Amino acid sequence: MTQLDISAPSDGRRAYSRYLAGRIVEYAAVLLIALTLNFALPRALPGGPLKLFGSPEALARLTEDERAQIATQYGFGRPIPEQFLDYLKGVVTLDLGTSLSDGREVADALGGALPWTLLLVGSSIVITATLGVALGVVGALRRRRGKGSGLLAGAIVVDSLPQFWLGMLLIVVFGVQLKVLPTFGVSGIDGVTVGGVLQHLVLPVTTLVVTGMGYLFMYTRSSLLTVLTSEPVQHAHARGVPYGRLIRRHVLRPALLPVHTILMLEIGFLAAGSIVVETVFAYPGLGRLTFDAISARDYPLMQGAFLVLTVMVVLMNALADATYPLLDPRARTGGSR
Amino acid sequence: MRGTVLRPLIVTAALAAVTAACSADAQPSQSAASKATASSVTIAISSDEGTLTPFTNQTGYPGNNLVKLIFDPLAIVEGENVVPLLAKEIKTTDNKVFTLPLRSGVTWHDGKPFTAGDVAFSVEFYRKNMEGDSAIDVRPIQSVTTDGDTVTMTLKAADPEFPRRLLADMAMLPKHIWQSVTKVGTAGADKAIGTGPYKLTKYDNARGYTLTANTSYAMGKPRVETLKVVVIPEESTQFAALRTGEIQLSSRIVPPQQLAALEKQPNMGVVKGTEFASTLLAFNNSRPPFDRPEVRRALAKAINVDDLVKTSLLGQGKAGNPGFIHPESPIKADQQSSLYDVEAAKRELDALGASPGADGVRMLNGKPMSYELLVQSTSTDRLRSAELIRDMFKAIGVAVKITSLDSDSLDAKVWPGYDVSKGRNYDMSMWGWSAPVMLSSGTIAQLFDSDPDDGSLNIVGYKDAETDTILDELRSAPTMEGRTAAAKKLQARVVDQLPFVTLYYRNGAYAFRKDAYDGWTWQNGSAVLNKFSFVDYKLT
Amino acid sequence: MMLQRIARRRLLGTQGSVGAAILAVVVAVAIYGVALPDSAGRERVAEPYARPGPGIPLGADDLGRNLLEQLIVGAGTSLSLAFIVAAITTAIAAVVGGAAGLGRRWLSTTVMRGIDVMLILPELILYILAAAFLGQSFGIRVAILSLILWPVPSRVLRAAVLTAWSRGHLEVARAMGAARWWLLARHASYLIGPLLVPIFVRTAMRAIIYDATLSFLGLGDPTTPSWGTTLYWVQVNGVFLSDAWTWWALPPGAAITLTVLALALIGIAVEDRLNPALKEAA
Repeated sequence: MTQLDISAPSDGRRAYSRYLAGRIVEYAAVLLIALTLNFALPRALPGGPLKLFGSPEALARLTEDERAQIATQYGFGRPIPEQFLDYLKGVVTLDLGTSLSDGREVADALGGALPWTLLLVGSSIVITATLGVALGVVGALRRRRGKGSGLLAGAIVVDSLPQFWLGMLLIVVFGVQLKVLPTFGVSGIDGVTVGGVLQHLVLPVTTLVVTGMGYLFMYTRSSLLTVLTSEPVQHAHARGVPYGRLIRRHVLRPALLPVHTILMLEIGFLAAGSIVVETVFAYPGLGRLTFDAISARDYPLMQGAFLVLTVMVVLMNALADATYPLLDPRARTGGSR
Repeated sequence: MRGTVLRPLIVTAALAAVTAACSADAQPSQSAASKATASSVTIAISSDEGTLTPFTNQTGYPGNNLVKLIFDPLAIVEGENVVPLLAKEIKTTDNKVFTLPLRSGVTWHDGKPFTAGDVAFSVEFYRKNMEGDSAIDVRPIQSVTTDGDTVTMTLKAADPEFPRRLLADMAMLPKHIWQSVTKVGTAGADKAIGTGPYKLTKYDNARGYTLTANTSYAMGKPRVETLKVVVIPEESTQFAALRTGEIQLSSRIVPPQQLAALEKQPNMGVVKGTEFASTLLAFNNSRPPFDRPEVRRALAKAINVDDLVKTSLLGQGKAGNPGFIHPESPIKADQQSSLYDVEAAKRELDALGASPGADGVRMLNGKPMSYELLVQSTSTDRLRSAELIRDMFKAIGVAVKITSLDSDSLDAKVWPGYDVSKGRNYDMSMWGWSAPVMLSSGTIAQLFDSDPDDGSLNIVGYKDAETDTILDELRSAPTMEGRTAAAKKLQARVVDQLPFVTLYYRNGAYAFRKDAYDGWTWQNGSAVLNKFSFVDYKLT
Repeated sequence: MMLQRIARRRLLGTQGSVGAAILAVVVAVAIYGVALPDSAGRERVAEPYARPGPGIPLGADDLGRNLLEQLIVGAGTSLSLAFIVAAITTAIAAVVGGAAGLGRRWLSTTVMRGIDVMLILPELILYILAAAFLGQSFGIRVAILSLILWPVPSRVLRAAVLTAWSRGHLEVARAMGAARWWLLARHASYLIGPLLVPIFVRTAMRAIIYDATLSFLGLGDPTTPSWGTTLYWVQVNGVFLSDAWTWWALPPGAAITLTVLALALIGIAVEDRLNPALKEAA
């Protein structure tokens, strides 16, 4: 009656595969809607890619025919349905076209930015998740010793700073005043080295971790407290289940389920990069690439960037849904155990 | 609990103390040794510039400046004058037929010789391919003929500004490389082969450009072996990186509020000069009541342009010449006196019958004088000026609502499709023209002409028959003296009609690290990113 | 042991009262700001970048306008933006998350996939489109921020509902034939209720910060007074590099932090009250 009424308790495996099959159809529909929007929204923006083909003063001189010729030659002037079909075809054959700004293959442009984003945002998520969840657990368990509240206050204070602001502050303090860390880019001027890349990661990652941790902290803490005071746990406690085992088996696992959802979402957004942090630190990731593509009205590049984001988010959402029943068997069978 | 709340505050207070201490003990350094040469200089720009060919750079400044380090035109502007570069001399008797003997011994970066055939090819190539930021409008050229090492260009009409406007701007293209290019907008970095003092040796979207000195450059010796160009979008980060020494020049104008502090830094130098980019307040002349010159005149008188310069730019600018043309422009027009006179503005509005309503806002022809002012949300000096103008208009009983938009959304309202014949949808807008507009009488004429073809920059929709007559005179004058005289007439007419208000021209101020390289040379129109900053030219 | 300690605590400790007191002060300041004349913080009263002095306790901004007045006037905009957006978002999240967790399968599926589509929408484009075609009035800003902020909390709440749904005593109640919505209202609400607290606090804060960040990206309206706007101009004017830091940058930052802190403290108190295990034990 909730998730899957048809599943008989004895038939978990088959139910699970039907559950997955249903999900795949649903996600295909989501993907199609998303693709349509990804195509339509860029073209709804005021202005267009013509400005990529000259200064405004130079474009103003062009006649109507000359404008039309450029628009046709570079593809953005063809009939919309034709462009849409081309785009869908491209998505299927993984041919994303060429960027209007610099003629690169969109796939190359995305491929160039992806590793940097994975490095920056990926390492931030790992650190944020570890710290946020660990502190959240400590905050909940030590709630009444003052430590929990102190942690909470600390998390809120650092969490309430805007990223661009904190980033600038870090640059001024650690770059300009203390001169210990580089302020921009992915590596030194003279080449990419492991040490250089790590050094350049410190400030942007710190910004992302500090501004992202509070949420996970507060969330974990709340979720944990709820479970901690729930009847089953109170009963188990009354039954004399040892403290460590109680926390591990009866508290942490159910409490971290919603946290799992958040984390999966965050990983899905990984592909969006972080526009603000990448801008402040001149980090050449997907966030900045997307922002530049939007400012340039570079339709193919925008479509490509949104496609990557779409696929990542849908994938991670699907993964979250698919793994959820595995983590909590009761959700799978709608509790009809 | 209290301790934990307070701790971060204490930390931030300590940070503030560190910051204050560091800015206090920064003393100007007198002892920096002159660095006339350098092995490597890093320059920060604000956005990617594509593959640095004349068709693929994205901005005029600094994109075109970088392209011109790789490509040479036939002539170059040095100080006030146009001097030959790839041409040996520029010969003309009537400003219509230009004879250009070419310099010998010049080679392309790939070693092939530069020939008259390349010049003829370039002109024809630009004629066919009009797209591209540094592409040149060669339509004034009637024909190009070559005779050995000499090129002769014949114009459709005499044009005294031809050397400055075309010869000094038209980057020469190697025929053997560009003849096979059909889609110029997507030309790759392998097409960035010129005769210029620097070769593009590396381009990587993630990490920027590497330009290497062209050791066989015929016209002089480059003083910097390697130029690195990095992209740093955020202004504050650029100046922070300059302070740390990670970059040696920021291509952005130093924000006025940071100038004094930056000049006090040791090892920091600032080159200053005149810029020709203009900032305007555009009235939509095709929408009442801005279609009436008397209304525009009255509004213009309420704007204290000196206050805008003093406040929004902290004095780092020059108040707008009411007739638009910068007094130092090569057109050599007049310096005119300020229009600012609040009492006159009020009197003139009274005379129009616009008397204040209950809320203090004047009513003109039964409608409140309440208008929307568009402003680009990325331009801080324009945002602040818009706020000041709102206050200035309030003082004469005109209400202003500021709407800030990203520049493309704003362009779509003010200048849809960059085609003035498509109309416009705004009351008032902050606007700006880049430096090249100020440098030739041809583009200045385009700002005012009522015919959409001749007035392709007339974004305000200004229509005035008398102005059109003056513009014909300006365009057809065969000598510079004739053009200057016509420009002065134009200025007088513009002050009378005021299709827009010229607010100010920002001063150029570019900061660099003296300890790395201090050979930066100012050139009006291209600031410090020009060939003279990097090459000792021997052009005679 | 530990659990008993939790249970023994009094419900509304000092934390809740401290939070309420701080919030009361901030709201009072905001109301005072709304009562100020239109010219407050907009009139040029001093030299640009003036240091704190008589009449301008926090100095003046780059146009010579009273920074203290801007802070007070900004409180109104920022607080109302934060509260309205947070209230809308949390309400949507509760209803949508609840529906997705408890509703029939088709409903749950539709809602969840709808959320997915919302998550994928490129938000920057939405901002640009909204600003260009709808304007930047307060209502539009609230609407667009709510639109962008609701999907994540909804998804999180659904996960929480699913967890709550399978709790033993809920199953018992269901076996006894109780209606779903009754079950949600009566039993599950206290399990997911506490999760609404961090969502509300977080969203309120996000709304203030988003407002400032949009200006930073060149998509906002940096001429309307708000705390976020002040932070934006702090950054633009390089205030970090001068000693104006203490009177220009710190106050709006501290104001945002204090507000969020107050909300969180109250939130914890409310959370305690919502949690019946604690209440019963008390």
